[in-house]
Amino acid sequence: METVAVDYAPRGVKFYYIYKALAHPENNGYIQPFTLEERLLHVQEAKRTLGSGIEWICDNMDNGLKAALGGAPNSEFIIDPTGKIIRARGWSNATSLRTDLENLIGKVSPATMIADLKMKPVAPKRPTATGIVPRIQINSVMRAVQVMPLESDEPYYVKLRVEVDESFMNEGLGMAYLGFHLDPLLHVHWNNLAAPIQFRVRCPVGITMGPGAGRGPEIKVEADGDPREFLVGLEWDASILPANRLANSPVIIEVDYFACHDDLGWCKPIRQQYEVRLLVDRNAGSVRGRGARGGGRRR
Amino acid sequence: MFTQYRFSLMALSLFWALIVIDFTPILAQVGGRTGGAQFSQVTRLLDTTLPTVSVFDAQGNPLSTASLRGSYTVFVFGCLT
Repeated sequence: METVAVDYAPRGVKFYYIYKALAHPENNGYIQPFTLEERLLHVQEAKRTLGSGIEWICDNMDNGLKAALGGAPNSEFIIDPTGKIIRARGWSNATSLRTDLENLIGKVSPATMIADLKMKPVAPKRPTATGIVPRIQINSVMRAVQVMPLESDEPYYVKLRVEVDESFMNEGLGMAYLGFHLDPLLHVHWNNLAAPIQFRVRCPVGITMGPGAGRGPEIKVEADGDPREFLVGLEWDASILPANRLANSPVIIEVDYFACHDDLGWCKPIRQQYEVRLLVDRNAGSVRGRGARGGGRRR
Repeated sequence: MFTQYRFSLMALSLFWALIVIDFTPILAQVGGRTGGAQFSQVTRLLDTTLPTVSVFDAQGNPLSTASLRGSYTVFVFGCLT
């Protein structure tokens, strides 16, 4: 879209990237933000890494614009001056976009080429040492469920991702993945000189998660940025907890960990809680290549 | 040259995104849509009015999509991954 924007912005066309929830968390270490402020950090990171001059709009944390415009991850729209949607594509296509604008506005000749732009995208920053703690290997198809942070005085440096397996989805009995991931945009790392991360689970009646507590591994290096991951058993008895009450019956997971922020010069213990609802999270994205060093797929 | 090419690829692939896999039984009450279904949800918006949604600019200032009328406007959805 960059070259099209260069050619047509001077002709009065406005171009916006709409920043939405991550499609593939863990790619390059990025994970879903919990707050608007964190999503805005993602926008700044996208601007920084892409090197684009196009303006960004940040979707709200209910993903309202994405939902209102069809929910596709890389869709493209042209809106006319009256506000009518006159082009709608499920997947962005710069060639088709240019053709559309040629028909609507007129042809620009010669068209700008990518090489003309001299864009300066930069590589994502790598977190503190990764590849230290072996990643969990999961063979089953997993689906992310809804996780909400409870109120805390501290940012959620560690974000919990919960996924359930196909067996649980089909039969109410299976496994759950609990992944505690450091947010690379908050610039903290694990303090391995202190006690490892620990978590405790509190389930509503009708849901069982076991073990109900866990402790991360002792790591020999002082600091790292690898996720701490656990697989636990998960059972739902629908005769006790009907499906229509799942949304109001969260599992509470409390976590204790030590984090350090080198730039700000602190290391401290943190206790935080997450609410987990065993309902599919449509906006959680899908992890590709879990187990690759330092996160998901790298480019 | 290679580095430039790699970065260009990285930039282009910034918007690679999710094709949702759906499952029906236990969690079907909130199950997602397939990728094809998502695309049809997009194309059916043709000739409708842009919905009014409260969003934010890159600095976090509130913004209504209704305020974007008045000229031809292009939206492309994307994210870091």
